[in-house]
Amino acid sequence: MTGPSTATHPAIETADLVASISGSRILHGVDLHVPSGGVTAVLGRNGVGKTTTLRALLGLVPSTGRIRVLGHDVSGWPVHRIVRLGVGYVPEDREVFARLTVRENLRLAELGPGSRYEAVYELFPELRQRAGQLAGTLSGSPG
Amino acid sequence: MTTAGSEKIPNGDLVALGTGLVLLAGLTWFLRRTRYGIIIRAGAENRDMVRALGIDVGRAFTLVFMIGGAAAGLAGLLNSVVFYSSLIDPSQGDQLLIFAFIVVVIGGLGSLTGSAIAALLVGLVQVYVTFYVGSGAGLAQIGNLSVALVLAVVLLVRPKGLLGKAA
Repeated sequence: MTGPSTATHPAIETADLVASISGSRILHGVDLHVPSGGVTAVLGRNGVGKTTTLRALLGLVPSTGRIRVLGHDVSGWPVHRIVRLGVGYVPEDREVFARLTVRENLRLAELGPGSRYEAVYELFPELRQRAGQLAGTLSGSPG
Repeated sequence: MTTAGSEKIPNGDLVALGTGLVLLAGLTWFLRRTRYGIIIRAGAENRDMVRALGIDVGRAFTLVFMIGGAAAGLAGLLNSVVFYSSLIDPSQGDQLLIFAFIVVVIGGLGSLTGSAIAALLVGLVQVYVTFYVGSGAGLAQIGNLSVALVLAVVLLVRPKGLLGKAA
């Protein structure tokens, strides 16, 4: 990777992050400092803006303020560029693509050359047998 | 002209039929097998999650727009070959536009196969009704009326269209 290295920068930093969803302000100036090399959990009751914070970090929700990911100022970046810095996002309601097969869902998640199905299939052998099945028909999927 | 049994079929009709089948097969292959096709189908379902996988969805949908425009251009060309003795005229699509819309609604938004089936259905209903009933006095438009009735029945019975995914 080019640019600032992960060792000297926090993984994520925000300053005065403000975001609104359909007119109502959800985030009122969030200052977040996530050190690299660790696990950070954000706790809070329903509706305080945990999900909105994550979505704003990815650029899925428009926001103002400053966001730095691995030292890059990503404010205003398109979502896919932020993700390609190495950000993964797994929403709570497991938003698999219901009308795509398991194999197509996996194929979609690949960036760049080199298939990693094998690693996934080794972790979850059942998926290999179900590779051709529509993801929406798996148990626990949103249908 | 090509002769099939006792019937003479204009070559233009065969070209249009063949091109339509090739285009349907090509688009189906593109959407099912290629990475861009998978991105497009996933993006139609949940655009944000495709973005969250690090994919530039905007580029994929620009491609959709280009393919749609090219397909419409090809349709105009084939239309002129079949109905206008290969003359092209900027207003030749006016009559077809409403039928194209009806075909997509009957087939179901988001379904290529649905549109293909609906195109055959609408075309055959229109032609058969016009041929067998349309010769009577004041019945010249009965074929078009029958197509509108098919649309009404489909919307009543299956609002999503024959193979539609979105209501």
